[in-house]
Amino acid sequence: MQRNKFLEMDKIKFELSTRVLKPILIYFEKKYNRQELMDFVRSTSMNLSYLEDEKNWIAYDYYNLFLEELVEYTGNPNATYEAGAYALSKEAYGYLYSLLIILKFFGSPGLTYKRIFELGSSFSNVGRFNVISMKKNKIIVELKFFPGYSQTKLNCLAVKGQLANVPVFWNLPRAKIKETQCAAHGAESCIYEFSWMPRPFKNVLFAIFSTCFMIFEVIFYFFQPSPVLDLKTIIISGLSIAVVYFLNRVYQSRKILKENEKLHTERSLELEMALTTFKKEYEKLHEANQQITDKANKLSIINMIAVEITKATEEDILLQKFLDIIMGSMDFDRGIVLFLNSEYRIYKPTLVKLKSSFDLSGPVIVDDLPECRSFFSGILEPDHPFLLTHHMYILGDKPVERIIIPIRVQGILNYLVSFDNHITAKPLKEANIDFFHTVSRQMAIALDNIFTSQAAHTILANIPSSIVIFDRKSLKISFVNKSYIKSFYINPEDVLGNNILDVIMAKEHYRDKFANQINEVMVTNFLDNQELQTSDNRTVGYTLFKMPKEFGREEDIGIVMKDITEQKEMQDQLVRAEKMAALGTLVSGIAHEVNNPLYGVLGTAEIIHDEAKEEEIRNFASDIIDFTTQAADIVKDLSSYARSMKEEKETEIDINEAIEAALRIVSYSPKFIDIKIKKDMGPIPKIVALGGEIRQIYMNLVNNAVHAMGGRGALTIRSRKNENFIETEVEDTGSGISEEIISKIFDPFFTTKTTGEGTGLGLNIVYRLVTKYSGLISVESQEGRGTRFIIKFPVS
Amino acid sequence: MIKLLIIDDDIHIRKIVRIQLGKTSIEVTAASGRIEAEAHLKKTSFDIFICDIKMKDSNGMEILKNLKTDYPDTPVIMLTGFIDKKYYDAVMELGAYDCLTKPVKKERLIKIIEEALGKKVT
Repeated sequence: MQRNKFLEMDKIKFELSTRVLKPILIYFEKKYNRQELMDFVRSTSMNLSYLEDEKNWIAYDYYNLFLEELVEYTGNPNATYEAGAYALSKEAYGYLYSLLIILKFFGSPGLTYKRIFELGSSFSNVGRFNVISMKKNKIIVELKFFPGYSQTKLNCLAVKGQLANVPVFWNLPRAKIKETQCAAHGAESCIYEFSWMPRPFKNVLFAIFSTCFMIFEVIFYFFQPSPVLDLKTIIISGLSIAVVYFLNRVYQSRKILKENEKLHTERSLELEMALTTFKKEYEKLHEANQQITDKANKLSIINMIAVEITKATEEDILLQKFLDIIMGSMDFDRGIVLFLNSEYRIYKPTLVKLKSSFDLSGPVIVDDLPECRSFFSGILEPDHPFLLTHHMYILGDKPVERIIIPIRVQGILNYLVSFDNHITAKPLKEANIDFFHTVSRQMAIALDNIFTSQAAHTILANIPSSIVIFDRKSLKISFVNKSYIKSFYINPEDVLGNNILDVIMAKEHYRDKFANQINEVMVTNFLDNQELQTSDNRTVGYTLFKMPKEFGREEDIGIVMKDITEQKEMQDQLVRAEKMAALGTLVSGIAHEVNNPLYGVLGTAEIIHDEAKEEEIRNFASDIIDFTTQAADIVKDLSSYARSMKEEKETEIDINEAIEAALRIVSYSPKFIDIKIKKDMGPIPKIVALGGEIRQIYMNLVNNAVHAMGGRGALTIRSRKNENFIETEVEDTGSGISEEIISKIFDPFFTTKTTGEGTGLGLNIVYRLVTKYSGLISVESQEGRGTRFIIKFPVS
Repeated sequence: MIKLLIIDDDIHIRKIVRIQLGKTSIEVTAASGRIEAEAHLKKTSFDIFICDIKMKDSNGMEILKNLKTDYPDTPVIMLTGFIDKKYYDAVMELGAYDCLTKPVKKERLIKIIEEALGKKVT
């Protein structure tokens, strides 16, 4: 039934015997399995049993389709070629195979080819093989297709595959195929040239020998006297054949052994080559590993230096550590550091590190030799380390190769570092130069930092002001500079960690004020011109300042202090002198004023002395009473002034009254000749102050005004309350103050008065007294027109 | 008859001087300041001047200067309450005959005037 189904004309043409498919079917079955083969054949709309029957025929087209399907199924374009290996296999010949084995003793690959080509015509009606030439190990054959048929690539491969495998039957390698022309590529026919290895001679000899033996046996058998085939003869013949067979087997085994040996030799050669390659690879890896180790080593050196840099605060220690690290990690006999100043002179003992020890004396270097100087100064930028190969006697004892590393700090060549192998004389590696460049830059930065911080530290320590840093809450001191220790005669150990007020021995009542000042400085950042008294009665002037935010120590307060006891005493003396000078002026004024009434008293008394009339005498006596009262008033003013000088207790002071008193006292001055006084004084609140000091402010200002007006002009006094301030003004119509000197008028000892007229402290005292009461003073002046002082006191 | 002009802003001083010289042959004219003095000088000529240094609205020094300019031969005696030598020096420099410090006794005042005029005034 099935069979009918596949008996289609296009597939079953009498074109090719199913024999040609045999190797392919075996190939497929071996590669996969029988079930798959059946399925595959079925997919080509054919029946496997049909194809396996060698008596059947198929169409050439079907054959080609089958090959295409095979390639697609296996995914192997060479599948048809590979299938050829089964052309002469046991499976292909079945029971006939053993016959083939026997035959192969008598045949040869060449004969087999010839036979195949002859048989070809009985398998195929599409083309024919024609042997062109035949040599011992070579056969050239032409495959010519009949009209209407043409060669396909896959068929070509299949043919080649089957034919190439012929010598394999003789345990020879596959035949080499040369396709001189191909019909699949447009040629008229395919021409193949098969060549194969010759069969080993011994094998052939053995075949001849055994054949001869067989013939001899047959002759012997037929021509011996007894024609009866006796058992003995048969056994001998059989044994002979068996011996021949086993001898052949022995020979074959030997051959295989030899082949194996050959194979082994080849394998060992291959292994040797692989080993060589492996060795080379290993060497490369080893080299790479060494490079990495070297780099890691250098990195660790850089890292070690970096660690030292963060710790180092002194150049000597850092450079010593640097030598230590390099000598410990790299192979040098000696490391040297030369310290150079800006004139290329060695100003410090040369640092020398040998394998085991430091030596500060170092080699003798004669730096005042011109060669040496020119060598040093010749090391120009960029600061690249270099290999010094020529003999430099100035750098040491004997000619030796060195790596010289210049290190420049702030543009000046400060150090020359040298490494050498003066004992072992091992050559130095050029490759290390770049590494030393990195290291030298690192060192230069570190040394620069040390210099900068040392400079800052030195400046801070030696600045002629005492600087102390303390915590704003605990008041504990965290830093003091040298100047503080020196000027306050303090033991440094008693200072750090202690309360600043205890350390400076501030008077007890002062503590609250100090706490307020610290709060103030947290807002204002800065508090200037402060004073405190110590328990041993010294005066300390100080400025408080807050640490800048960037410093990261916002809880810290800095204080700059100065013992101003002597300065203060001197100032007080000067103030007294000024007071004396003022008193002198006053005394002369008082004298003038008192002398007038006294003249009156004297004159009147003279008259009374000569007068007889009682009534006249009474009148004159009344005059005397007037004169003496006038004099007494003046004395009263004077004594009130004198008392105010001694005042020590602050009371509520009316500034208007203080101004009036000051005006009265100054008006006695001889300069007070032709001066009109204008008063514009409003009601103002009282302030808490020493009355004498407030009077002195206005006395000094009025005195200056009178002086500036040369005894003639208008003096205007104003006072009013302006918001939270008491504002007072003293204005004159005097000579004014020139722009050049207006900024100096509050300076102590600055005066325009001639010697003896003033101490130059008047306005300075005014300034100090005004600021003492947290007041503000300003001045407006126009040369030739007059001056106005404006004083503002906060309402207390 | 000797004519004397006293310039002083203090009426008491003018009165005392007038009394001190009342019994002599000197005729005393008094002025309270520069303006009054100028007014008197326009009307009369004087043989001698007495002038205060510090007055409320006049400067004795300037008056002295003017007098010595206009009447270089007439002696000017300065009369002041100041005790400082510098005033003495200053007025002597300006050509004053003398500088007396208040208070001045009658005898001394007459004696100085006589010296200045070179004759007895009684």
